[in-house]
Amino acid sequence: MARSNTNNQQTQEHKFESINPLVDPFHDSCYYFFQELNKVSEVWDDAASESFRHEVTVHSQNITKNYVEGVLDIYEKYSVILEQAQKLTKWNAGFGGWMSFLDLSMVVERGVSRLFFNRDDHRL
Amino acid sequence: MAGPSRKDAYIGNPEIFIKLMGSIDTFIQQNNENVRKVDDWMFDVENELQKIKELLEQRVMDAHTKLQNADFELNMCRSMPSYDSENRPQKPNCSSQESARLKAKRQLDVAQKNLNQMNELLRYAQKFAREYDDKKQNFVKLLDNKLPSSVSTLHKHHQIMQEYLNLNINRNGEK
Repeated sequence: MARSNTNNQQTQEHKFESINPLVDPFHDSCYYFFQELNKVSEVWDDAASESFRHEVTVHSQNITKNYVEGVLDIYEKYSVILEQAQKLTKWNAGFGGWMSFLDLSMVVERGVSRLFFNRDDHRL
Repeated sequence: MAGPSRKDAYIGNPEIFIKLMGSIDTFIQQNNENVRKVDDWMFDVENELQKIKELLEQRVMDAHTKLQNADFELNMCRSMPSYDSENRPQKPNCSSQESARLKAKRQLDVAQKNLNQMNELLRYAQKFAREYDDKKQNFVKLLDNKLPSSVSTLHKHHQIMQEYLNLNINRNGEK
């Protein structure tokens, strides 16, 4: 019982560092949900529980992780694209050195790789 | 009592199924809302990109018009008769019109290149949106099909356990 209280306390105190406004709403719901699913075997342990762990917990975790990575990805890529597009509207856009399509692709990819190298993979 | 064995049913908390069903329902509800927010954000960005494209298209059209006007002015200038101080015909001085035409041509080139870059950005956006959409479809299937189906299964487990508990109560009651 005492251990359970300590766990609850730790759960309530868990704070997430903000990543971006699209991903942040997934933090709480995913973290607490999967924490709860992963603890199921503590109180329910039989063949059905094992099946639940494979078919629901592990499967959901993989799909959700994949999706949240997709959200991280699209946020970063769309933000870079919008930033580059807004630069094209400036009065002096295009009068300086030209950005080639290759440069353009590198800007987008660089923005994305920055995300991948800096991200925390253990949020879910 | 012996410890739980995988062959036996071990349920330490009779409320586990109710709790799990509640958690899954909450997860589905919250994440449907979260997915909708992502869609809204993408829609806003795509709208913004479309507006920028329209602005750049308008600039190309304006630059075309300016170049046509500059061409017209230059042709007019070149066709105007011009004479020197001794009244001999000479080639008209159209340097200012030529300069204006050169400037208009450069503006058109710049506007066209900006629009080309914008179109390239939009192609990237479409490609990335498709990649995102694949992952989203899987997640939506999880929320719409897989998890609701698991709730049904949990509900059956809950019913079986309730029947079992009621059976035990009845037996104890008989004693």
